[in-house]
Order: sequence, then C-alpha cells, then structure tokens
Amino acid sequence: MRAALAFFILFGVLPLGAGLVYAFLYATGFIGLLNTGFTLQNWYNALISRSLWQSISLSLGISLLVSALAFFAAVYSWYYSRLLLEKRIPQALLRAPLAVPPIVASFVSYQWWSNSGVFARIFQQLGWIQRNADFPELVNDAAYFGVVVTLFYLSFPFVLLYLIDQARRMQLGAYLELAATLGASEGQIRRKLLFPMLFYRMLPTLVLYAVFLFGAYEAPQVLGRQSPAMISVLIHEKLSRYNLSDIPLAYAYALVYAGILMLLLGVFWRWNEKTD
Amino acid sequence: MILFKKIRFLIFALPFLAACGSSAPHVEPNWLEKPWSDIEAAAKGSTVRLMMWQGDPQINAYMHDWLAPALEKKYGVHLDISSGQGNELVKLLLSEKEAGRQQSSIDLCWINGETFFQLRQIQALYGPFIEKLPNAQFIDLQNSFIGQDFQQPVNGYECPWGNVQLALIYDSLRTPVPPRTLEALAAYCAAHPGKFTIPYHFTGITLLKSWLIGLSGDKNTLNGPFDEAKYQALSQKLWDYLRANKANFWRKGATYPESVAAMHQMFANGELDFTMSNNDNEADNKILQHVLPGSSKSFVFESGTIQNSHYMGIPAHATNVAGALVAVNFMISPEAQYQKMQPGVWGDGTVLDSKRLPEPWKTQFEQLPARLRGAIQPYALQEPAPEYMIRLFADFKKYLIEQ
Repeated sequence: MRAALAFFILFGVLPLGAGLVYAFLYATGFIGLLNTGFTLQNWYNALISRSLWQSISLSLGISLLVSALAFFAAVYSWYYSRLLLEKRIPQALLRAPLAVPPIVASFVSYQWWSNSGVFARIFQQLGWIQRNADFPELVNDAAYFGVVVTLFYLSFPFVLLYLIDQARRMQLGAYLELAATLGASEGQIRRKLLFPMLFYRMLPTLVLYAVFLFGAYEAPQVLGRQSPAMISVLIHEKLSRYNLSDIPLAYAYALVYAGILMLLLGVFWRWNEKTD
Repeated sequence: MILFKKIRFLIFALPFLAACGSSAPHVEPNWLEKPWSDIEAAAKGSTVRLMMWQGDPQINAYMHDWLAPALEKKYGVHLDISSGQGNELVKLLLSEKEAGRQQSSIDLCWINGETFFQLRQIQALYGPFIEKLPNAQFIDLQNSFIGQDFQQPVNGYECPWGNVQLALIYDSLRTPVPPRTLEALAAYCAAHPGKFTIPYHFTGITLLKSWLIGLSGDKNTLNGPFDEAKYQALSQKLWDYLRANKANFWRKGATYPESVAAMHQMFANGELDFTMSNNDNEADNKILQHVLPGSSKSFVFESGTIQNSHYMGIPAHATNVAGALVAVNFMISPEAQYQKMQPGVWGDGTVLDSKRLPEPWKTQFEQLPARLRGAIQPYALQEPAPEYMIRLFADFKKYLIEQ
C-alpha cells in the first residue's frame, strides 16, 4: 500500500506539482530568460483580464452543457433501446467513435457544417438556399454550435458505454420492470427512478468528464472563435504567439485556470462526501 | 514520514533542478577561423538536424527529394529534417537556454523576421557566419530586402535563403477586376458581403503592416526603429477603416481564419473571393497542385505589399556547425536556388543577384518564368521593425475581434 502510494506520488503528484511550481516561479518572475526578477504584474494582468474570465466562463458553460447533453442522450438511448444496446454489434459501433482523435472529428465537423460543407451543398442542390453563404453559420459561430456538436459526438459513446455498465451493475432494468409491475407510469419511472438513480451514480464520473471537456483544445481551435476563445486556446495563443514577454502571463493564466478547477473539484468532492 | 518529506523536497526542487541542470559542455572548434576545406572535411559523413516548417507538400518534396539527396551526394552531409517553426523553434531554444543545455537538439533552422528578433533577444544564434560561405559572394547583402530582416541588420547571424512578396489571390473568372486600393476593396466588400477576410496569422498581420504603411502615403515611413507615435497615428486609421468595413467581411468580421491553408480551401470552395500568400508565386504553384482553380491570379495593392526574405540560422549551441555551414552554403548555391525557384518545384524567389552570377547560371536565372515578380517589384515595401507586428497582432484582437 505504501509502495503504491509512493509510486502515485512520484509519478502522478510530483510531475504535476513540479509543473505548477515551475509555472508559478515563471509567472512571478523568479525564473525565465527574459524575466528581470520578482513581479506581481503578471498576476495583476491575468486577474483583470476580461479575456481570461470570458474564456473560463465559456469553457465552463460548454463543458457542463456537453456533459448534460451526453448524459440525457445516453439515458434516453439506454431506456428506449436497452435490449439492442446489450448486443455485440451495437456495442462495437458505439466503441468506434472512441478511436477517432478530436482533431479528426473537428475537421470532419468542419466538412459537414461549414458554409462550403456537405450540408450547405445539399441545401443548395435542393434549392433551399440560393448561395452557400446563405447557409447558417454553424462553425466558427458565436453560439459555439460546431464545438458543442463535435464534443457531444466524442462524449456520447463514452457516457453511454459507461451508463450501460453502471445500469447492469445496479440491475436497473429489474428495478424499472418492478416499478412498472407495481403500477408506476412511464413518466414516474423516468422522473423518480431512471434519472435520479443514474445521475447520482454517474455524477462523480460526469464531473471528471466535464473537467476534461473544460480543457478541450482541438475542437475549439478548429471550430471556435478567437474571442471569446476556450481557455486552452487562449493560453496556447499567449504562450506561442509573437510576444515573448507574454509567456509569464500565459503561465499566470494557466495557474488561475488550474486553481479554479481545483477549487470547483474540492467543493464538489466535499459536497459528494457529505451527501454520501 | 521521511518518505513524504523527501517527496515534498523533490516537488519544490525539481523546477530548480530543471532550470539549473546542464548537459556536458560541448566545445566546437572555431570554424570561422578555419579554411573552408577544413569545414567541408569535418562535415563529411556528419548529420545536420534541420528544423523547418513542413506544411507545404512542394516545399517538402524539394527538401526531401532533391536537396537532401544532392547534399549527401556532393558533400557527404546527411540532412535530418524535423517539423517546427516560429514559436516552436523559439520555445525549444529558449527552454534549452533556460535549462543551461550546452548542446542544442538542432543544428540548423529556417527562420524569418519575428523569429530572428526573438532568437537574437535570447542570444540563441551562432555567428556571424555568412562571410564564411563561398556562395555568399552571389548575394547582395546591401539590398535592404535581403540584408535587413524586419529592419534589423542580419549582421551575419542568419543567411538569406529565399525572397518573397505578399500577394492576394483572386479568381479571374469570378472577379475580373480585383480591388487594388483600400477604397476599391471597401466598395467590393459592400457589393459582395462575406467574401473577404484576413487570416489571424503571420500572413494576415503582414497584410495589415502593408496597409499601415500604405495609409501613411510614404513607403519609407516605418523604416527604422519602432516609433510609438507613428504606430498610434497610423494604426488608428487602420482600425477605423477595418471597423467601418468589418460587417461586410466573412462572418461579419467576428472571427477570422487561423491559417492561410484554411483560406485557400474556402477560396477554392467559393466561400471567399480572395486568399493570400507571403509567396508571390503561390497562385502558380497551387494551380499546379490543383489546390486552386486554374483561373487564379495574384495582385498587390497600389500602395504596395511587404517583400521580405527568409533565412537559415544556426543555433548558438549547435553540435555540428561545420555540417550546418556546408548545408547552408549548398542551399544558396546557384544550382539549389535555381531548382527552388521553378514554379513547378517550389516557386520561391531567389536571394542571388543575377548580376553576380557566372555564366551559364546568369542566363538560366534570367530565363526562368517569373509571371508576377517583375510587375510587383515597384510595389515592394520593406518589413517594419518586429514591434509593429507584435502590436498589430495584439491590437487586431483588441480593436477588431473583441469589439
């Protein structure tokens, strides 16, 4: 047990902790070739940056929205097709999208949904629009539709496969049948049994998945906007564009982002422990 | 408990160890004082690790299929090419310096203005080495489009390799008369909303720099060091112009393509009426690649567009300086430059001065088809200091995208 804990600390906590310390020292001016010494200016600039807070809010909103959509879609899919989903071929089909890298999924989305994409051309062929420019903006759009759809496409199979496994372990099908036998209506089964049982069972995993989506990079880079940008895109831009003096600011952004995530996760776990 | 104390120590010590750690010192002979024959002899049988942008199949084909085999055959130098450009390269060399590494992981890199500026800031380049190269005699370093990189004298720390000029590309069937002034462009965008945009990228910022100079009415106005007052006055006019027209840009100017490749695709699909490139021969070579329609042509604004050169640099801690010098010397040979300049190969402008070339190269270079270069040379503008690019990039987001 002690060996396992030491292994986890050495290869899990230590590299992450060292990275955070390095970022802190860089953002505070202690290290870095172009830094000139201790300064809090980067922290001040980060904390008053409208772009940073917009990006964090946007990332949080999209990660929660996609997780919620994936959860509800998975619950409905399982409820209405659970016998089918237990079979080998549908399970194999569900696993297929898990092998698609996010960058590939993003380019595929672009080919489908952009103004010069497949849907726009079909609409034009059908005479529903005069020019491809008349097709609604569904990628690089203000509502982040393209990003949400792509992240949903990547998330849904994972959430559904996890749900199938959890439902099997909970023997949820038997509970539902029992409730129906005892006279519960379909609406009651869904509202009082299906959603609450799955929600509380899957919540910790869904929260961790939302954290993963919070930091999504490829889909927002290809299908999102420069402003507001999702947080990983914003930090990468600060780290890699032309102004070397922005690098400490990028580290400050990254630490604010990491700090907020840790805070949110801490609050969640505390709440989860209490409700358990 | 002791274990936890040790781990806690390591967490805090690791960044310092990473920052302070250094590889074994590598002492390169002072090649700049050695005769060229010694450099060639030392380079023979060695490998030169070149980091360069590999985003264009024609450029890759030239490097992998022609240059690398020719270099190996003639000089016994093996070229090992890896992907990386601009910021990746700067980050790599910056990290190596911060970690105190004495041996760089690359020997040669393809750079231009803003990267040169950043690498000089962190003193990551070897030199001055140009005068050591026998083929440098064919380059006119007094030519300000070659001997100066973003207003910074090259001073021998990078070797010119190619020379290009920003050009916009249009489809002559869709747009018989392209707009060549800002007024004409505004009128075009009003008549064809959504068909024009600027990439949020190096090329787009180069266009903005061209317009910044154009708005002053004096093509030399931004020559010299960065001038805050001039920037403020001219950039205000630029943002006013762009904000007045952004509603007619692609996506109403709320977002901009991240790359020229994306613009080429949208242009080819008909979503945009214009794309652009820093290489004035781009239309020709992309037509040959069937990326752009055959009716694609290039134009520049009457107020001019930026012409600049791209270069080869050697990292300060390169471990194969001799090999890198031999490789660069071959890259600027008439043979390699002639091959590179052909539109079917790459179409990159040469840095060699044809007046300095011996026959038969002089005649061969003069007979190469250069569809556009002769016509646009009078509209060439010099790159302003790198700070203009840094400021324009930040302000483009602040005043155009976020407003």
